[in-house]
Amino acid sequence: MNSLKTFITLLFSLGTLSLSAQNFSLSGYLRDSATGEELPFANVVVKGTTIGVNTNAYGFYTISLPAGDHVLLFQFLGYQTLEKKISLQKNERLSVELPLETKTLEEVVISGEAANANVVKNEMSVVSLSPKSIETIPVLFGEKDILKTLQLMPGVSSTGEGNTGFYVRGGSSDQNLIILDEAPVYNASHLLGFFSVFNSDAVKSLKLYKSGIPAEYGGRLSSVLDVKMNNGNDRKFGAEGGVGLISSRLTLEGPLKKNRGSFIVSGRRTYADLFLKLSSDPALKDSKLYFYDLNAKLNYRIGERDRLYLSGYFGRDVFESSGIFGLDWGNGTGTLRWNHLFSDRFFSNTSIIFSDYTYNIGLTSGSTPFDITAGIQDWNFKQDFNLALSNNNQLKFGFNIIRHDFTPGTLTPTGGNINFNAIIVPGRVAVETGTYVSYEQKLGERLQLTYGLRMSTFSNVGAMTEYQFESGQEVPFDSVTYGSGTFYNTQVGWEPRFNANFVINKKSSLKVSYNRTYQYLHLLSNSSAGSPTDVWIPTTPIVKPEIADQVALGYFRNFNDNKYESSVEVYYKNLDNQIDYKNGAEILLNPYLESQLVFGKGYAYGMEFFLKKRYGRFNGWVGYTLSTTRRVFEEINNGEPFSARQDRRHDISLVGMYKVNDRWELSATWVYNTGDAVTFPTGQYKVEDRRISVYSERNGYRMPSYHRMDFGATLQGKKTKKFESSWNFSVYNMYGRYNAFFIRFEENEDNPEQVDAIQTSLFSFVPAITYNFKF
Amino acid sequence: MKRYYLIMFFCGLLASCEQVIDLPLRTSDQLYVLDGHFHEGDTAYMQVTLSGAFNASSFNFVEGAQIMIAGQNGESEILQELDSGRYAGRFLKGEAGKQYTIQVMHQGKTFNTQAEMPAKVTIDSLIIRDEEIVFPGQEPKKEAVIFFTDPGGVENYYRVKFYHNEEELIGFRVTDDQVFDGRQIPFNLAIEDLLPNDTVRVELIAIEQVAYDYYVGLVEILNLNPGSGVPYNPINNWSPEALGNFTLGNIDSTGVIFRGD
Repeated sequence: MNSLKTFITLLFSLGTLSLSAQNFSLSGYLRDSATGEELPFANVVVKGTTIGVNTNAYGFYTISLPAGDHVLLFQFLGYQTLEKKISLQKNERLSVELPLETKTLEEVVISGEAANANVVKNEMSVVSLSPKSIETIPVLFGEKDILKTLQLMPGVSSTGEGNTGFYVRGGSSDQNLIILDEAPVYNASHLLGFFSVFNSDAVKSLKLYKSGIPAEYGGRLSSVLDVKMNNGNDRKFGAEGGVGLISSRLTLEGPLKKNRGSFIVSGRRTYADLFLKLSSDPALKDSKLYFYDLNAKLNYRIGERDRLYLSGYFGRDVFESSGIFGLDWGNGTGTLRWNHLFSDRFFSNTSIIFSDYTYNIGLTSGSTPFDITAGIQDWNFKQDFNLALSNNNQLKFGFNIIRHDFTPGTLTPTGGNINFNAIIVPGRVAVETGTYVSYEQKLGERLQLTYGLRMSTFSNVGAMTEYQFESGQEVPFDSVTYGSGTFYNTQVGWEPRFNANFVINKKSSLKVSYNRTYQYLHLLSNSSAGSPTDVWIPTTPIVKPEIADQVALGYFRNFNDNKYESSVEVYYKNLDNQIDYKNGAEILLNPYLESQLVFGKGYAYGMEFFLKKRYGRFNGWVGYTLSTTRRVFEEINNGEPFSARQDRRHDISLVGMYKVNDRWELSATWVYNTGDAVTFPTGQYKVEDRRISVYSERNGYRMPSYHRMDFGATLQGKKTKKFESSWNFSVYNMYGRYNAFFIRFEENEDNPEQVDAIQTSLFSFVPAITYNFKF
Repeated sequence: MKRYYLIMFFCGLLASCEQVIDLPLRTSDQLYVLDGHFHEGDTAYMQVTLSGAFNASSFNFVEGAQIMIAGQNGESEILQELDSGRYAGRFLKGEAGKQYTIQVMHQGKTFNTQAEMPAKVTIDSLIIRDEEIVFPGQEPKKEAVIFFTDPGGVENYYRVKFYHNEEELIGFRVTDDQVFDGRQIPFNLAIEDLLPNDTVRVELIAIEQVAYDYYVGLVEILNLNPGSGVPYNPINNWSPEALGNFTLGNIDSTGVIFRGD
């Protein structure tokens, strides 16, 4: 503890030393003036210069300036820019509140510096969204969902029809680190993926890194999705909610103590199953099918230097069929955070994070009822430091340590008149750590660099018996047993991270990034559609850590006074120690699970185009991705590279929003992508008079190409001081295309000698209506 | 299956749609299909065909193949060609616990397999009863259930065939003893249109693991659904690669006459 103190003191003095004598620091928080919410990654700029800094993830900034008078601009997208004159004679604290931008039909004029943030920030392959900005985009069942909007961005694609799962630049869906207030969410979907766990009323912002992942993040290969929950209004009590076709939601927020602390509680529940009661089909009538989720957050400022946050999420899906069969699954997360200012330049965040995912399957009828449970649980301690050495030099460093508890699965008989054996696949424990340092540097007016290094480690912890398998064998030939508390199979990963931005001029820049990432947890999912019963396993002596390297290069250019922003990015990604399955692999309840896996490599490369119109009555964007994604496994496809399922050559998204008048806003989206790579028969033969398909190449065919148009309209109700409301109308898949969700092969009922290809389509022309209110 | 059920259940509520589509499929090189069986106390049988195009009107038989079966003590026999690519033994009969090798030669190609005849597991009882699990809205049916006692401490695999009035009910039905090791195992099948005085006969065939994997593979191909993994040619015991399997089995059979409710 003492050495830590000394270290911190040293760093603090380092920060002080680096200041030139006449400079003072100005620091504080940027907040929303109506709610008191902090504004992360906002800009603080000295007017008429290029001197500027950003607020950190907690809305805190530090800028160092010479003594004297300055005019500062405080800017955040969607908010009015605030101009403040200050006279700096000593280190000072200045917290600023920005009012929301009042939308008028006329084009909003925003001063240049903030509007070209996409060009001048040393950040590429990043998507930032706030639920507010996507409110009017039409979605399935009118259930607005940030993950679905994210899929409209280049480089991000959906795992399937109506699904919230996503692939980033050729990575698998388990290679995205999805964190909610720093807590990893192990299964971010409800109802088999048709809805995400993120209730947009509870979400403040999200940021997705497709490459150039900062050193403070680790644990997944392909991307980081950082979702932040609303803090709640610390000025006044309020409520907002909505009543939709299949769910309702309600959010309550208010001050714990005015201007000091606030709470927010946000809940949502679907009621599709209430409609089931009306069904004439008894199988539907007696079934349950719903999900609910609850987000809650408290925060409190203790003096000027300390702030505490406590946030939690709990959600569950329940499916029950007529008291015969049941399946339920869900996540719980909790985060306790403490922000502390050691000085105006030295910011610290300490977090204790909990995350839990479990599922249960139960057969409750018949003579052999049983219950299956499995899951994963994390406890994580995380410490981050942020040291503003000067306006042009920032140092970030920190560490975290996670204990993972894996429950791969147990099956227990639950009564019944026939006896059978329980299956208990032994649980595993592992410890993962990350230590990082990252340096942000501005070199002159044009060049910005961020370079960092993350060292990750991963150890299995006994008591455990590790099996060894001869290649191709399912039964072990040997085993090694480790005692309780023994650390073994320790893996160390060095993960360099690098970002550079060369600002050509105010309108254009050239950016490059490189990152190496390690992933020690692996989601086993031997099905084409993701399932709640997919199981997370750790790295073991047999399963190696997955490793990825990615380089990306981008050109960013704004037009027409920043009214249009555009970018072109190219990337190449190499993936090592990827996991696939042997034919007929048995994953569930298999104590020799590792014998079912095969290991190989992958690579992906592509080009992403993005053009966005940001202001005006009409705005929206166009995204296009041209990409290739391949995997290479010795045991699959005779060792020849094959297309990964998500290898979609072309992917196009068009999004348009049009404000007709003060009350009506219209929107439309259109998406197109090449069909997924899929394995179809390449022949047939007969066994016992049944026609059986022959398969000869992995993913050698394509599903039909996918396209769809959605349409939405939002009508604002009469606004009063105390009450706002709106109606949202939407149509999903407007021209009713039957997109292929799945194609199967089945003997024709009338003629068993003919096997038909049968295409299942899920949603064609789904209208929805939602009523939203706020008071 | 459960996953599929769940997805289709949910989608069924909404707006799912199924249609037969025209899908152009390529045809890979022809593969030998070597499908045969050898049961305890019985002679060997095999049919040799070639795979063909998807929905081909017929598949080619392989004539003139030389198929030899040999036991572990040097006894052997060349199967006699019948017709339509079918071959059968006449003398060599399967004995439980014995190793056998089978070799198929045709036009310079040779396929081999080695297998062991499993021990017999007898059926303790066969009953006809009302279906135990009936989903609401389904017509309750009768089901035939066999009970048999699994030998403990070893892995056992079974194929079960049901006959209604001596007509085999189609489908590949197999089970292992993962949760029933050493216990009495129930195995049931709902029987459509079962009338008084109908006969139901059940064959319990003890098989090897590879045969179990093979039948599981066939069932997966025949029942592809969104929860399925990537489809594959079923695992079998042929080397080099061929389709089909040579299944050694030990059959116990029992029957009842349904007396009505």
